[in-house]
Amino acid sequence: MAAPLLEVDDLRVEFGTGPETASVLNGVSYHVDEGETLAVLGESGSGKSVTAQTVMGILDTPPGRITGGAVRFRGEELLGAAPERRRLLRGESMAMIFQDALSALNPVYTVGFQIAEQFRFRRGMSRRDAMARAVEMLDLVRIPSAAQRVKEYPHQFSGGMRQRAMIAMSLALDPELLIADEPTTALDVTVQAQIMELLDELRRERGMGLILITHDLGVVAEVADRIAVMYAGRIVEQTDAASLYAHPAHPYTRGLMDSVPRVDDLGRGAGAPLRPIPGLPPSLSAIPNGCPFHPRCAYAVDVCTDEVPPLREIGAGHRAACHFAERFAAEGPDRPATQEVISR
Amino acid sequence: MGRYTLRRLLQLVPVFLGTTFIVYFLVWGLSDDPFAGKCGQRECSASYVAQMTERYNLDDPLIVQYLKYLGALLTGDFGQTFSGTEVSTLIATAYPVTIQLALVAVVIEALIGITAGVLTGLRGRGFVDNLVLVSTLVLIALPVFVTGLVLRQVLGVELGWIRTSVPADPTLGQLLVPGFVLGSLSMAYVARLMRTSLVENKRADFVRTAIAKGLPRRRVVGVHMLRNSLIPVVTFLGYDIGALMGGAIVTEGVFNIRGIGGLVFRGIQQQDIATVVGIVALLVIVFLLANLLVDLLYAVLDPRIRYD
Repeated sequence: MAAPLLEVDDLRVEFGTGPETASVLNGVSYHVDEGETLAVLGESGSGKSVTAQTVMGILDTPPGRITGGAVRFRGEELLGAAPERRRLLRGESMAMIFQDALSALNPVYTVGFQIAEQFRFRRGMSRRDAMARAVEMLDLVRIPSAAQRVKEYPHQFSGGMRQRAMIAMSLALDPELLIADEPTTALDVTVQAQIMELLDELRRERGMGLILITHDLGVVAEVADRIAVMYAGRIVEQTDAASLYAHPAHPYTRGLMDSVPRVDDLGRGAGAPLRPIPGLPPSLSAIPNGCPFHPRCAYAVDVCTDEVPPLREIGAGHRAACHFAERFAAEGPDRPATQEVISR
Repeated sequence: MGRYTLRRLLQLVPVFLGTTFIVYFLVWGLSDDPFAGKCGQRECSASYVAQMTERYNLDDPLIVQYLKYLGALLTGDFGQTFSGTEVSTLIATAYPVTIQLALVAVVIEALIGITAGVLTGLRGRGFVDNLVLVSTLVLIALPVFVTGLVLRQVLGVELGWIRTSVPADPTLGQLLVPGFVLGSLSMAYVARLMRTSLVENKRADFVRTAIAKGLPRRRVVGVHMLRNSLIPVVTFLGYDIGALMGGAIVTEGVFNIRGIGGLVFRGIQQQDIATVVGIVALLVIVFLLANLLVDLLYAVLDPRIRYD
């Protein structure tokens, strides 16, 4: 079997030193194939973005420190590669778009300038040719009257248009892998849908791999082929989108689903309260023993506080890190899940 | 931006009137006898007093005096000193050297300050960083006259590298050390401002984006980091040049430069009212124009700022 487009293998990252050390990634593994969308789901601080930054090679070190694992792009190991090699991969092979396009774009240069400079400094194009290509890129992401708008500054764009410009910029060098770090979080709901549609379409047209980092289950359901759920620097569940929704095998995944309002909630009595996951994610400098989710888990029993559940195969392509994953998966997503699941 | 500039220029009018009136009022209105001590040990002769009263319209109410003075000023007549020299001649001899000195000082501030700030800002903690932090602290702590006197003593007297007294029509080389002394305090601030600004921008999202785009490091730093970091520094330098154009009493005194600062100083000492009011009026305009220029420059550097 050919190597996947991107493979993250047992990646470990720490921040800080001494007793303050925070284990931000504790053995994260996932892969993305060509043309595939992998959604990485999790709360703030679960390590989604740090994983992405490590893949891109833009993690700030220090304070970050990669303590183990591997990142392979088409089989090529990246973590030990020369900085210049990694720089050349950026933009060309893998590109990234960020959550807040306003702060991610340089405020003192025009949008056109910022797209064109990739053509100028990576393709050796003249200023004029590069600017012409920048207009084409804005056209591609369907920004109206692109020829005028290349001359404008980021603050003159609306939020949605700014994110489109960001996407245009990331696609300039025709990357094979695009990492979108919460691309729609800062946008209005209607604009969110448009941006997701655009991303999905561009991915299909270009056969790109797409890593979609988000905490929005609704966004994921639409476009993801596979989903990886992260918690406290670990992947706790990973499977294709359909089986995640049909058979969530980790209580955390169930919790995420329960905390999202759904239209069919109306059937079970209008105004039924949402059920948020109780408690807060653990401090990464003091991750609890055993299963890191056990303090917040309604089903936790003794074994959960003692043993770290490994991420293991519980069905075809379905992996979960819970001692009782099979039972949860078998029960399906219908609520409320009961304590009997475990005691059975 | 045209309308904004016009509005700002119009604002100069009331500020100019206000400041000149206050200065005029302070120097003429507050002294009981403007002729006290003007004629050595003796009292001034009646004919002299009459002549001066005539020349400065001292019999009119203060406001009328002021308006007459203003009228003359607007036609380019700065008036005469008590000894009969045209104030405009004094300014014309003193101002060129002040402008030269101010420019030398600003260039030194910018060159050394920005270089030191960039070096320390990019490298982070280390020897260079500590060196710059300590030396800028010393410059900030020392009064300018100490820096000036020490440099004059060491470079001028002990080593003999420079002349302790700058001649009337100085060359660029002769103004280097005085310029350094004059600019030293601001240079220290520029270095620190540049360093802080750069360190802030180093972690900025748009710098991360530039890295993620796979741009060469030189371009990430030189284009994306520097341009943004320079905005506050350039603004500071602009205001500083406005202040330096007002002359430098201490530096001019230490190096015996016949500039505008010393002229005002002597004018105040000798209660030579026409000199003081005339020069202050000029300096107010220069300072206000410099500030306007900085505000316009700010909009050029940061496209987010629009004044219309």
